[in-house]
Amino acid sequence: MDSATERPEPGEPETLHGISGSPGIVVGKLVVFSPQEDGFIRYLLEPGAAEQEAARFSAAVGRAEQVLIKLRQQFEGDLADTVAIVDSHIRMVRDRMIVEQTLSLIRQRQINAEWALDLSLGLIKRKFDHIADDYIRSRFADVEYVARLVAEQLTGQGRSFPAGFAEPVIVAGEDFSPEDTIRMHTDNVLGFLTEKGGSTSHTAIVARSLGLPAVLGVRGLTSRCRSGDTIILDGYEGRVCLHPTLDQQRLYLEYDRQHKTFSDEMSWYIRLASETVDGLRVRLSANIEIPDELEAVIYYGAAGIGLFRSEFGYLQSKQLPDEESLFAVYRDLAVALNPQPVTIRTLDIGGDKLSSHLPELRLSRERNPALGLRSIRFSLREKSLFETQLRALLRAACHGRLRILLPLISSLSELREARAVISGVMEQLAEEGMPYNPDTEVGIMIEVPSAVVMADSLAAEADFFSIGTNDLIQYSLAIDRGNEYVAQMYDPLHPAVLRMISQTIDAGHRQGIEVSLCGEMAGDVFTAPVLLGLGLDELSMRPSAIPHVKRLLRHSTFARLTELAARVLHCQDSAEASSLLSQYLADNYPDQFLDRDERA
Amino acid sequence: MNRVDWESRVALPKGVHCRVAAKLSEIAAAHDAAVRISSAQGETADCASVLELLSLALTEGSVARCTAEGPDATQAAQAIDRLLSAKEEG
Repeated sequence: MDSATERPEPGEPETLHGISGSPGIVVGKLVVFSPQEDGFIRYLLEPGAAEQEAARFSAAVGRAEQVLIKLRQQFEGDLADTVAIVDSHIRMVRDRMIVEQTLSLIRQRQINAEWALDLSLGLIKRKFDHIADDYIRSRFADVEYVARLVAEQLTGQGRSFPAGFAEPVIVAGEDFSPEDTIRMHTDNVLGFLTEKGGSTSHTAIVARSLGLPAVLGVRGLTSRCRSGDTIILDGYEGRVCLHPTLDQQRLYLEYDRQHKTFSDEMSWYIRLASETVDGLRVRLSANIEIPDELEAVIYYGAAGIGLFRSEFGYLQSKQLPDEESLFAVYRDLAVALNPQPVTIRTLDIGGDKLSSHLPELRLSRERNPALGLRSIRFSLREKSLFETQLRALLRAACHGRLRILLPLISSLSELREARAVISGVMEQLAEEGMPYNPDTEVGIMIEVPSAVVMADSLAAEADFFSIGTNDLIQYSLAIDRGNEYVAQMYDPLHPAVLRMISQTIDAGHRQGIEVSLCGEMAGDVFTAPVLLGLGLDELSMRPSAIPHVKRLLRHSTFARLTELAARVLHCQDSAEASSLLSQYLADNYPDQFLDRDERA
Repeated sequence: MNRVDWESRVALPKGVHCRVAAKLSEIAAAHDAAVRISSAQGETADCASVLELLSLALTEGSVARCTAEGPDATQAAQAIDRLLSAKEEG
């Protein structure tokens, strides 16, 4: 498209299309960073100055590394994706392809560090250009970010953030690095636009984890927009309205207002009881992975923790955690939420994840790890590892209502075997005179189809059930969600899935035990009504989803929910179930969820 | 000198991208062993360099020819083989 002839007069409303990088809508004044002209200064060194230049370069690398390490510290224990990206840049900045190559170019060609760095970058680019795989080739962007960071340290100037904006702005540029994005977050920036980049870029991942709206890959952006232009950035749809009319601005701002009101309204629900109009109470609790999420658990008014994925304690360091450190984490959670339940799932990973911790563990490669030695099977094989975790759990259970959850149970004998290990650990603790809670509840995950079929027998020997729909769906429909060819067949509303959930609930209730559900379905306002209607005692979800599901519950009656569930259970396919649920949602939710195309 | 030669088939769906390359170089750094990896095209990378590893462009299904040399060669080999042949990132 020839933009020169089709470009409207400046000031005319215009919509530019890009890719949604991170959701959210913002309206504001634009600050455009013009593309950097070949910024690297080039000169030949005075004779004998090469070593001094090499030292100047090494020092810049060191400072760039420090900048990255400092950025990383802001996010320690939080935002795992952001940390992993900054970590990979920390590794890259010292990479010999950058450092050694640049140093030897400085010495061989007697050129300045900036020039040598630019040449190294060119050599790396040539290697990457040969790569056929798009995803890996696109990682050259990361090499450029890192090199730019070093160059900024060399010259002592850069266009990087923080720029100290006096008022909130939207920034636009050719491209921004993940590190730029992190700094924008603390720099009065409402959102950002880029000319390059896609939704899988590391910049997009960081923007999403920080909640900063972004539209990426907007062609012709830097030539069409000027600093001071007012724009609307729609990160949901990946589009930009340049020079919007007042009506458009009003419409978007109205949407923004509604969105905020909706969030405010949601926060109002945080303090209300989770019960239906006619008094049915359902416990809405939180799924968490790291202890730091406790703050969110409390903020969103969770009635306890329905699923604590205990793997984090094992994977964060190179050594296996000892009993005392596990105990401290479990005890703190139990104390913080007492008397609400804290459900801790025992290790749910395979041996491959712990290979560096357990050098003596020589497992040959598994052809199909999802059906292999993992989870409870691994724990029962590596007994001492399991016993250490159980000791920490049973001891911590003295300090609150801590419940033990065994994952991937597929038969009664497996449950009995695990129970026997638990009894053994209790005896050991008693002998040592170590305080522990002998009445600690032990429940099981229902996530293997065989456990659904055997739910009545299992219910007689388990203290509670927790249905793990993410795995149950994959195992029962034989669908790997991560496989793009079949991912669309991953279907939470498949009648078989809904019937299995229903059977499990009935089997549990006949034995008088509690049944909860902790898959993604629980936190989705679209699927939650049918789950509530099926009679679950607890839904466990990411903390921020709790007010939404609570709102739904408080606007429903038990009678209507059970009627809905009964109708959905009789559906022959998921399309039918889906239309019943859409209708229910439309009747119970405001138009926030209706088609938003009117803004186009 | 302890030396191990082996081949791993890359099972990671996205291949050896940034984070995997960073992990490989961490494993190499944690062991007393020099590890080199070659692609089927004959390009060779030192496991200490994330960028060299990336530029091998090891995608899912490709074969990595590896050599580890040093006192910890066996342990390094096992850890690297497990990472490359895992189906998902740990």
